[in-house]
Amino acid sequence: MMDGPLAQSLRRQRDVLNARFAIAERQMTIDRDVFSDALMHVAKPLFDGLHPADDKLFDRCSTVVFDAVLRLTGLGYFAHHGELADELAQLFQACAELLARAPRRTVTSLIHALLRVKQQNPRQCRLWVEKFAACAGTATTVDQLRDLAVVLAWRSGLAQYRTPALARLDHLKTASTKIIFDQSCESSEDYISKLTAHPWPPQQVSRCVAAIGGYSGLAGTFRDMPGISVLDDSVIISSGDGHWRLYADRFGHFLEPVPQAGNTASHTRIPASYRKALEPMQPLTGLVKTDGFLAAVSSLSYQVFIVV
Amino acid sequence: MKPWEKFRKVPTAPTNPDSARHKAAAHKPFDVANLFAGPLDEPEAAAAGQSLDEKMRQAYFWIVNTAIISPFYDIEYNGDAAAKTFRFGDSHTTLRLPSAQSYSSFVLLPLLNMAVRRRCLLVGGPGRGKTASAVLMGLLAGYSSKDLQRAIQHGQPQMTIADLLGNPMPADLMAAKTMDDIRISWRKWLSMRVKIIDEYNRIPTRTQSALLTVMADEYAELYDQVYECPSAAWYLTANDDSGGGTYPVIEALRDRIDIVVRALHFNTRFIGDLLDRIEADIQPESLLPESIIFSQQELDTVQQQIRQIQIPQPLLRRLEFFAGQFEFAEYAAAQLEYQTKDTIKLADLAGDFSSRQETGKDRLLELGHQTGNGLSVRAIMTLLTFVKAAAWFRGNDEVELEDLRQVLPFVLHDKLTPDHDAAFFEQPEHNVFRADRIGWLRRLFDLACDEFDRLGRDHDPINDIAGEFEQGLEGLGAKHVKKRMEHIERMLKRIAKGNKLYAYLFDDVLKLKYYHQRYQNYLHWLDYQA
Repeated sequence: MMDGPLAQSLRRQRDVLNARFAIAERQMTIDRDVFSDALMHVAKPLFDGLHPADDKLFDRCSTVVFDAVLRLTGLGYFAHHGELADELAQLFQACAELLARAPRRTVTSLIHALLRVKQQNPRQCRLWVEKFAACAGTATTVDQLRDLAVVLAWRSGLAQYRTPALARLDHLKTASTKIIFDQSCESSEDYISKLTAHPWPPQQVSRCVAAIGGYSGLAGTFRDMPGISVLDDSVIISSGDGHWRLYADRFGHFLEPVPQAGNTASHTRIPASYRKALEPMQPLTGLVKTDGFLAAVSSLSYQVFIVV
Repeated sequence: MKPWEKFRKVPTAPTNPDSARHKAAAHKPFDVANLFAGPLDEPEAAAAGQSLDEKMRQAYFWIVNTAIISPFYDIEYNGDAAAKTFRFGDSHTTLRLPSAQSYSSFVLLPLLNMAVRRRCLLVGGPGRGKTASAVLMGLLAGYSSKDLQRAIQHGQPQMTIADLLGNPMPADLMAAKTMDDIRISWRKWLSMRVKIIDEYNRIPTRTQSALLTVMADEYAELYDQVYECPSAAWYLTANDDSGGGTYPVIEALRDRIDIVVRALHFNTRFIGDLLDRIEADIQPESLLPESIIFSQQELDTVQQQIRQIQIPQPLLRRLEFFAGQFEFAEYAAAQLEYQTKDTIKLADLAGDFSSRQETGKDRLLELGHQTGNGLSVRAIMTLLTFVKAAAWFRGNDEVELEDLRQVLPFVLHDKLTPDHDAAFFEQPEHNVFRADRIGWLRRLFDLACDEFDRLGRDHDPINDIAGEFEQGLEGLGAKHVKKRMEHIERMLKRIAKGNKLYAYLFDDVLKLKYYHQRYQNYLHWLDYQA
C-alpha cells in the first residue's frame, strides 16, 4: 500500500484522477500494472522530497506527473524502454524545485528532450541523463533548463545541435559548463572559444576520425553504395532513394533526411596532407572538403569516412 | 480490447507514406525546437504538424474501417506493379487486385464533396447507409449529432416551401404595412455548412424549385425577404433516382447535382460486425474521434489547397479530346457552329436524327454516337474540381490520368445520357453497359484515350498556335499576322482534305476559326492605324 505525500495527493484528487484514467483508457490501451509501477517509480521519490507551500500546489504538480505517466504508459514507452522510469525519476528529482514552480512545462520539456535523445542517439542517452541531473540544480528557470538540454544533446553526440548549443553556452553557469565538458583546469571561456573555432580537435597528422553509415543489411544506414554531394555548404550523402545531410563534429554525427541530393562535387584534388590518411580507402568514388573536415566515399565500403 | 476502443482508434501511422506531400513533410528542415516536441504535446499542437490531406485520409480510413461497413475498393489505383487479375463465371467477370492504395467510392466521394463543398447525390436501396454517410460528413465538419438530425430535411409529398425555408412571424403578418416589415423565422439548416436532404425525389415540384434556389444560388426567399446561405457541402439521398420518386425531379435541380454516388449492397460476410455493434450497443457516429473533425477554417484551407493542385497540360489535352466527342452532330445544321446535339434537341427531333444520315464513319469508333447529349460547362468544371480533390486526397501536387479515369464516371453519371439504341450497346459484350453506367463511362473514357493515342494527338499543333497568340499581339506587324493567318488556313485545308469531319476535329476547326478572326480584327486595326 502506497503511503506518503504522493499517496495523500492522489487520494485528495481521487475522483478527478479516476475520471482522467477512464478517459485515457477509452483512447489508449493502458496496462494498469505498468502504469502503477511507473507512477510509483517516477513520482514517489520526487514527491517525497518536495515541500511545496500548500496542498494545492502539490496537487497541481502530482496531476501533471500523473497525466504524463498515464500517456507514456498508453503509448507503450514504459513497456518498450525498461530504463525510462529510472531516468525520469532521476531527472525529476534533479529539477524538483523548478518542477514545483512550473510543473507542466518542466515535465513536458524534460520528457520530450529525453525521448528525442533516446530516439536519435540511444547509446549516449545515459550520458545525457547523468550530466543533466548533475547540472540541473544550477538552472533557475525552465528556459535555462531547456538551454541545458540543447547543449547536452550536442555533447551527447547529436551534432545537428552544435550551432544552437554554442549560442546557448553563454546562458549556462560556469559550473555547468565544466561538468558538461569534463573540464578540470582550463578556463571555460578559453575552452568554449576552442570548441567554436574547431569542430574537431586539431590533429598533428591527418587521420580518419569517424566512419559513418554502413550497409543496411548489417544494421547500417545505406541500402546502396553511398554517393556524396554538396548542398548549401553541407555534405549530402545519397544512397538508393534516400538523401541525408551530414552533421559531424568531435562529439558525434547525425544524418538528417533531406528531400534531394546536392550538386555532385567537382573532382577534388586530394590535399597532400590528407593523402596518407586516405590511402587505405582507395579507390575513392567521392570526396568533399568542408571547413572542418574532409568526407570521402570509397568503392570498397558502404561507409562515409571523415578525415581531419 | 474494449468494444468502443476500436471505434475510437485513429492509427498514428501515415495513411499514404508514398504521397509527395508526406515525403515533403517528412523532410522538414532542422529546427532546434523539435528537441522539445513529443507525445505530451496538446492535441491541437500535434495536429498542427499534420497535413490536412493526411487528416482527411485518416477520416476516410476511420469511416471505412469502423463506422460504415463498406469493404469495397471500386476506385482502383495501381502502382508500378500491374494489378493481378482473376476471371470468374460465364460472363468472364474480371476481379483486379490493385497494387496501390484504392478506395471505396461510397465513402471517398462524399468526403471529397465535403472538401470542395459541392452537391452529392447518394443513390441506392433503403438501409444501405446513405443518410448515415451524409450524417458522418456533417459530424466530420464539426456539427453535433443532435444538430444534424434536426437539420436533415426529410422529403415527403406534403412538404411545403415554409417547411423547407421557414415561416413569417404571425404577429408581423397582421401588423406589417409593407412586405419589408414581415420578419421570417428562417430554418436553422439554411445556415449550416453541411446540408442534408433525405429522399429529395419525394419533394413536391414547387418546393423543389425553392430548393433549387438555395442549392444553385445560395439564398432563400420568402415574402420578399432574402436569406444568404453560406457555401455548403450538400448531400441528397434518393432510393431510386431514375423516376421512382413520388415526384419527378425537375431537370434544373438534377443538373445542379455535381456527383452521384451509388450505395453498394451489404456484404453478408460482415454480419458479425453488425452483431458486435448490437451486443456492445454502439453507434459508431457517437464515437467519432476528435482528431479527425475539421474546423471551418480547416475546410476553407482544404478548398484553397485543392485549387492549387495542377493539371498537367498533356492530361488536359486528353480531357479536351474526350469532352470534344459528344456535342458534334454533323447533320444537325448547315452552319458548323450549330452542328450540335442541342440543335436537334431544341427542334424536338429524335436523338439519332443526325447520326442516321452520316455515312462512312465507324459507328463504334465515333464515341459521340453513344450519348444523347454533350457535356455542359458546369459538368466540365465539376469534373476538374473533383479530379483536383482526388489528387489532393492522395497527397499529390498534380492530377494523374488515373485520378481522372476514376472520378469521371461519378461526375458524369447524370450528365451524359447513354443512347441505348447506339450500335455500341448492340454488341453482346457491351450489353452490360445498358445497366452499368459507371462501367460504361469508364469504358467511354478508355476508348477515348485509346483513340487519342492511336491518332497521336499528344502533339497538338493548335496548342502551338494558342501559345503564339497568348504571347500577345502588341507590336506584331501585318506581315507576321498574315503569315500566322496563312498557317491557320493551311491547317484548315489539311483537316478538310481528310474528307470526314470527326467530332474531335469539330472544336479544333472552330478554335482555328476563332484565332483567324482575332488576327483578322487585329489586321483591320493595323490598317486603320496606318
